Amino acid sequence: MGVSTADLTMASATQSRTRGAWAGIGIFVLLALTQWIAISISVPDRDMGHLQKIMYVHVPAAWNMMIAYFVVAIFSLRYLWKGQERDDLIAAAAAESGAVLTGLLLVLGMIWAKPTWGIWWTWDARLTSSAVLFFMYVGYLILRAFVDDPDRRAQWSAAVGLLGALNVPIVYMSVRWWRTLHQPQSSPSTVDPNYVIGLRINAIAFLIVLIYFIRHRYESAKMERAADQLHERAALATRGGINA
Amino acid sequence: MTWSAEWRRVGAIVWKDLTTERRSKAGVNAVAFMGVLVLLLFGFALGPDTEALRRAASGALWLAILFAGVLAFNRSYQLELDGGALESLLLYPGARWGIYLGKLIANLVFVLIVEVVVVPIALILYQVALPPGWPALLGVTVMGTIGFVTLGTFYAAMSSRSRAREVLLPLLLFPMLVPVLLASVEALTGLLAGDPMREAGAWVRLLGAFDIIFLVASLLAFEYVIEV
Amino acid sequence: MPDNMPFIVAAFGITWVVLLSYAWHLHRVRAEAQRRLREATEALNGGGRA
Repeated sequence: MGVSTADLTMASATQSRTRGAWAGIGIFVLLALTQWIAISISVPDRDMGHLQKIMYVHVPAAWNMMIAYFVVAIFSLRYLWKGQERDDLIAAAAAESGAVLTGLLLVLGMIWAKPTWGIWWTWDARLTSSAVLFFMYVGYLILRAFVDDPDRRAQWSAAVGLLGALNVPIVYMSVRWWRTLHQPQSSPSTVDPNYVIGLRINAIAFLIVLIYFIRHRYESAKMERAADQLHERAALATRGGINA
Repeated sequence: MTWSAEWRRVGAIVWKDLTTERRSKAGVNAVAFMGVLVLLLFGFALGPDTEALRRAASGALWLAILFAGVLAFNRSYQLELDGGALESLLLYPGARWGIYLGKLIANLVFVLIVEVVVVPIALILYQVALPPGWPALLGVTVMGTIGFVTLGTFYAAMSSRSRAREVLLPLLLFPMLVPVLLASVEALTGLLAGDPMREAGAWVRLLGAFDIIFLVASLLAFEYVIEV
Repeated sequence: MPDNMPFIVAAFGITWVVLLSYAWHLHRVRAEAQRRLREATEALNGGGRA
């Protein structure tokens, strides 16, 4: 019986793999398209010139990073509440995708800072709290890598994910206060309506990429768990055979 | 289980941990020594300029507390694990938060003892004169320490039972402590400069909020962390 | 020619490199997971027959 369900999982996995690959190509074509549209409809900014175009990758990365961490928090909470392995794997997938987006965001922030302020790093509230977030969720992923027992890993990382989410607003607020005490906040330039549409479609394209990442990672994790369980069962079956 | 029974349990755990510490003494001494060593190293890194040292004093002091204190938390569970005592501790009836609270209070006492050594030495090494309102300074330090120990005790419950615990604990703990570090250092710097509590007040409120939020969250989540 | 062209190109270039390499990494992870699942299934089948 166990074998037939495994065969079923295999069949659907192979099928979804080819589908997944095509979906991936389609999603990245969509992202290229939205970027092209946003770039072609936006006029150079009064202050920033063409540099403003970095916004179309920087801001969507930031928004979707927050969405990813929100998913981690929700599914961590759900895991502690219901105890289903599925929620743990989704939270882990979201944390990994979120960490990738945050890493990207930090690099983009530096690329933005250099021509704007003449320095690669600025202790701006948003940039600095993103760096702290990055380390919080890298810690989450490292914890997962260092714990082998699946139940223990799930419970622990759910607790870490929840406490981390709780800390996000506190970190942001404290860094902002700290900044305003030392020097004036870097001008939070209001976004020109010309750019809003470009930003929105790029944010949606990024969101689709994020969903694709989380789904892909989650399905792989599910297969890994299924393989582990089959190995356990095989080991048990062998031992039973020897005893018989 | 009644409340008074829970509190007796907490008290017993605190007493047990502190007695173990008192009998060996090696822990407190080593950690306090580490704290002083960090202070000394910061002094070397910053150079002998008195003015620069004075300005960096509260930051260096807090980093010394963090780097030294983080060594204490894993120890607190390690001693249990070595003797296989954690399992028996979990077998006793009663709520799990009692164990956490007991460990938390024991660790708090431990870190405060370390601070009693480290803080005066920091004042001497960095040539900081105590301002008239120094009791407020003590209050800020204690509040920051509570936040530090709350999360440290919580995360050590995990890291001490995982592989690579030495690196895992600071990796998990330090990013979470950014608000505590900022608030403590800023409040301390303000108070040392004779700040009339205008800036420091906001930071103290932030510290208080942090302490309460994470104390409650850790008490609630500890059950999930210790059981597996 | 915009003045900050290298930075803009770098920003978009890095975005694509990061996203595509993570997608490629996910693809590899999935292939590996599938291989392990297949092996586990075969091990279980083989064990049953023997």
